Amino acid sequence: MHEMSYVVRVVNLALKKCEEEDIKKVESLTVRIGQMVGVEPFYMEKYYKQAIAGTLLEGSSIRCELIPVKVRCDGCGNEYHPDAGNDYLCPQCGSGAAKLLQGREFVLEEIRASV
Amino acid sequence: MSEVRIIDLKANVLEDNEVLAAKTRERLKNENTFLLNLMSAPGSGKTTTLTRLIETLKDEMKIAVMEADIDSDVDTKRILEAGAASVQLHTGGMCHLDADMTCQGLDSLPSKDYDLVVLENVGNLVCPAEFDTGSSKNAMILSVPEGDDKPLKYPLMFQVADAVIINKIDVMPYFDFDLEKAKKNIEMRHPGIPVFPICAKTGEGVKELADWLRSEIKNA
Repeated sequence: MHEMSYVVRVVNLALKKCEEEDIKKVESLTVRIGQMVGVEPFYMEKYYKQAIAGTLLEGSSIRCELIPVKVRCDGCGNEYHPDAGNDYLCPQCGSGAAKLLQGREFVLEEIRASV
Repeated sequence: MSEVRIIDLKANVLEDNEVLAAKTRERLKNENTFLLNLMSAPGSGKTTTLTRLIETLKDEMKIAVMEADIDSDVDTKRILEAGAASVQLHTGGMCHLDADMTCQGLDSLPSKDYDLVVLENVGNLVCPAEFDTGSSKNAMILSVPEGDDKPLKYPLMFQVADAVIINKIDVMPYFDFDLEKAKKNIEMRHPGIPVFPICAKTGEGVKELADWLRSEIKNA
């Protein structure tokens, strides 16, 4: 739902970096997205095309890599992936209290530039 | 064949927002202003809850409300009638507020003239949870007709909240809403979080909510 907001931020960040690095043409961007962010790669790609029109990123693509949610149980220290299958509870001790280890990231990982 | 150069960035896309949010919290501290970010689904009773809170607290503190609405000033009028200042933030179709928009609102009040500023976020349980507004505390409203399973479906909202308000408890008999189950689901998402069952329409439970807010403001 909030993909456009992220796309605009990604594009601005990439354009700034391209200026700093004196890049004239870009092949692709890679972003890593935690699954808790609730972003759909389909819409990221769709809005990306619109957002880059008329910029030096025009013609490039965006690759989205999803990072699964991982937590550490407060009760027993077990690390697990909470999902509907385990009812978002620790499969080892049944506790729901846990610290998030990964899954909320939104990172512009790399820019592939044509030289 | 053209060569490819890879620029390794690993840049946090929300970093600018997080930096501004941290700055905003610092500014509010210096101004002695408490900013409450109030989030919920549309129609959960944010404005009615706020008017009740304003009635309860207006004699002890100066209150302002920043209304984030896509395009209307209906809510603003109700806030003014309740006795608080109000500013309308037109989000132009955005599904959430970020630190930048919040700052613009704080500047236009200006926030230093108030003890409590409430940010009435866009009605949505997904996007507002993603973007730090720079608020001192976050509260979310879950209304009875939405169902007691919402904490399971929108985990992040319940994790970023510092308090959960369960509104419209007067209609509980007409809906399949189990208060104990709701509390259990909330506790699962955010252990130890305070939960306030209220009826904004009649004022039931609002005193306890106002007490919580008063003590958060005092300890900020």
